[in-house]
Amino acid sequence: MTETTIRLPFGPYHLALEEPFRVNLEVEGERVKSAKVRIGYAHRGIEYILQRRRWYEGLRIVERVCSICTQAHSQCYAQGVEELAGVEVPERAKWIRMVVAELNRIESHLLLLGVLAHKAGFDTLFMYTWYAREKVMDALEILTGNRVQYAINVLGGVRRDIDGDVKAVIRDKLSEAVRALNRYEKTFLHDRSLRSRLSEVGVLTKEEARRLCVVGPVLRGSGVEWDIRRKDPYLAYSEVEFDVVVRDEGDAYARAAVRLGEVHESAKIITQALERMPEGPISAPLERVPQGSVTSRVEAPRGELLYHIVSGGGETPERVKIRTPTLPNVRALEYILVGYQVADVPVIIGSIDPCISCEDR
Amino acid sequence: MPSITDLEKVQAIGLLSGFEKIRPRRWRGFTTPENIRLLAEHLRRLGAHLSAITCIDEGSEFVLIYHFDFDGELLNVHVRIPKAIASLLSISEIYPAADFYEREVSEMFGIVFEGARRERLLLPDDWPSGEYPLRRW
Repeated sequence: MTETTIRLPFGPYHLALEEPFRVNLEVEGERVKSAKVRIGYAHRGIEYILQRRRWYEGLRIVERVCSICTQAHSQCYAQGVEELAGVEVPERAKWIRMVVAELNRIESHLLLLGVLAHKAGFDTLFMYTWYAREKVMDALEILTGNRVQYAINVLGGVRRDIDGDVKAVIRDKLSEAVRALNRYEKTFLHDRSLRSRLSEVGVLTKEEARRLCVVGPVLRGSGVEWDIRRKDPYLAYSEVEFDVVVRDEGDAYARAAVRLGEVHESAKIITQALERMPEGPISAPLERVPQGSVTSRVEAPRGELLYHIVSGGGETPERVKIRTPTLPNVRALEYILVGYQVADVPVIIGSIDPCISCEDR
Repeated sequence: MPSITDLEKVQAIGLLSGFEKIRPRRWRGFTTPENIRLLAEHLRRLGAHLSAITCIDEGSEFVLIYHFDFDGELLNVHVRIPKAIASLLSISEIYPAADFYEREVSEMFGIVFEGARRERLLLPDDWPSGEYPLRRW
């Protein structure tokens, strides 16, 4: 540290942050020399709480790890417990879960894209993006009864069926959202001032991305085709057609473009699922969880989400380990931020899409 | 992209024992605390992705599970360490992401990772030292 170096704390409370976390920056002039991340401001001890609750109560708790990726957490926990108990989830339930998971992904990506526009100083775009997001929220509310924390999963299936009327509403709302987004996508990808804020900012090369073990849109924005839905398929993802969106630039712009592409892919999955959903029961009974351990993975909106669940054969889990996608992505910030201007820091942090309550658990 | 079949080479030099497939796309293996760093170096060279580090308290022993991904195939490497020692080598130089995973484990269970950064990550700054929230007995 030289005499001209200034220590600059970014957070835990900052205008550009939605949730509390801190990056300790060392700045020389306008350039970031080093960055250190401190997390834990939203730590609630969920892993410990889960050890004290029954299996089915756990499902409601993991949904509250984070309300933006709630369906991913619920799915990951439920599929782990079901695998331990040896329960086969009915086909129809799998497809319903997939519809909710993809609606959840769209909602989460639109949220981030809006926030990113806001951080880059383009508030009009932020409001229009959230207008599209609101349509998806409406669809989720009609389907599950809740705008966030859908609580649609039960151990062994789902709680609510999708009938013809609900299908029609979801289709309507979805096409409305996609239509609205199509209009603003051009602005997102081609507007000169927004592009100059996002392009060549926060570059992460392919090799570096693999070395730092980042996941989700951050990894795919750096040119690595790696999606749990494709590589380690769950639910009915192997039966529907979708593309894994990859961009090679590795900058904040590429990460935003990947998310925009994924919104369209998710819409494609939902449309197929609504058409091809098989008939049948929507849940199977799950009575006991025998001794054993299981590692369960899903592709959350922010990337690979991993649960390691250990059962001793009792009423409660012995251990539930949750590794959320934000954890490796936020760790990578310590490398990505170095060399960029202080004014770019909010945009780079935004492009990683940190979900702090996920990461702190 | 790395492939799980490359692991035979690592197995041949005695770094990984009891390597087997337990479920579709789920593999299990064991190693010793002395070898974990060397194993991580080999796996990094093969291009494996480190997904997570799980710690489980089993009374007199800790079980650490390193989750490595090989293009969709998940390998869980188990390492057992006695609670009385509760220390092993850090792999954070090889896998930078491990830095956060290891610091979380050391805060929650009181395991020392030699060579890892010693700064608070998750718990409050005024959390008493010597108290580990997830440790049992």
